[in-house]
Amino acid sequence: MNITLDSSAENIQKHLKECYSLRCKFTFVEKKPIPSKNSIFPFLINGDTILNELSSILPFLGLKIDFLNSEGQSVPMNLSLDESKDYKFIVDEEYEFNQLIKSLDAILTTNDYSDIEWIKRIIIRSIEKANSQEKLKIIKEKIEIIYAKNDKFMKSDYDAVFQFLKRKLL
Amino acid sequence: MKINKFTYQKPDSDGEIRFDCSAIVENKTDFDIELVRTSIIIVNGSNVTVCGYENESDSDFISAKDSAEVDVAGWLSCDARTLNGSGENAKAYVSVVTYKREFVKIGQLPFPAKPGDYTEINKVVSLGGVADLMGVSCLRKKDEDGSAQLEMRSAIRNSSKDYIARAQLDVKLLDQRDAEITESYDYYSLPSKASQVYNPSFWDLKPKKCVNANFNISASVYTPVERYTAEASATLSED
Repeated sequence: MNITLDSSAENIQKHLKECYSLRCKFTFVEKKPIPSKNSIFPFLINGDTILNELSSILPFLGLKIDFLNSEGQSVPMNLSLDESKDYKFIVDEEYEFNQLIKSLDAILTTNDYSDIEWIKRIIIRSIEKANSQEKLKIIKEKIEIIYAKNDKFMKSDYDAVFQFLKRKLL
Repeated sequence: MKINKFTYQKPDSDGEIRFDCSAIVENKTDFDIELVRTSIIIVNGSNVTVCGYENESDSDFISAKDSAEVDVAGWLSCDARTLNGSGENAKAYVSVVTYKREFVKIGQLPFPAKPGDYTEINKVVSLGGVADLMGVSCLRKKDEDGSAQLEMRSAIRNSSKDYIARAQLDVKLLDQRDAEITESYDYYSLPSKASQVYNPSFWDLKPKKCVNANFNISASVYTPVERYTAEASATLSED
């Protein structure tokens, strides 16, 4: 579908539902002025179009869009239309464990002493949620990396979380 | 909250500078977080706003006592001229508000059997003690182009002193075998004591498919749990 300056919210909505099973909620906003060198429209949308990209051109039509899946949940904006087709947001042990590991990766090189306690809390939460030896191994590796890379993560911190890990490993 | 990434790229061929920003949030409460509202303001070296972005996401679930990384900047960019050609002096003001969800099953509403028929859910339903759903009405108007035309109305009133970030009404139309025919989701924010009328809309409803069909109706309200703010200076992206 080509989105032009004359495209209506209803047509875009129907197209996204029929072709990509995407629901959307439109809000009418003030029209953003079109740049004088209009290289935006017509804007071709296909399976490779990223939701963020589509969302960023709609203010030129006076529209703000929220993308929803068939359960009415938001779809992450970094997905393409094809990827968002069958998107389901499932919160399970796997999801929660991965969120914690992602947080750990993001914070492990912090220079802030106060964050060290936070790191320890994340490690302990991940150990509690780890339900396999593989997951415990991932945590063990993360602890080693933090200890090697972050000089504010002391031996006493290392020992404290390692004790906790050892208890789960037994 | 900690901003773990705030980067800028070199200007692209259109003279736009792209920003990336994410933060880690710790949910210290006993509630699960089911909605996160983020906002970012980017200022130049003179502390003047050059761009910003706000987003509301219900796909950032954070369990009680857990931490999670949230995207803050989305697809954010601005004209390099407002930043004196480079993002190196850009600064971000980030705020994040987390919300818990109260989910309530409202009930079933029969699909009006023929044009002119009217059905309703005749009760006020409390949504977690912070809002009320004031019944649901459904009038079937004259069919058009072989499709049933419905006028459905409901309303949610915020009875609390809190701002409700999202008050959502979910309507699913199920046929007589409980297979889903279509659905409608709609939501609004509701300041304290405010109310909002919902008009779920449906198209291409074939009357034969809707014989003995029912609407399954549920509602959710999201109320604030924690608020965080942080600032960061931009660094050049390594990508």
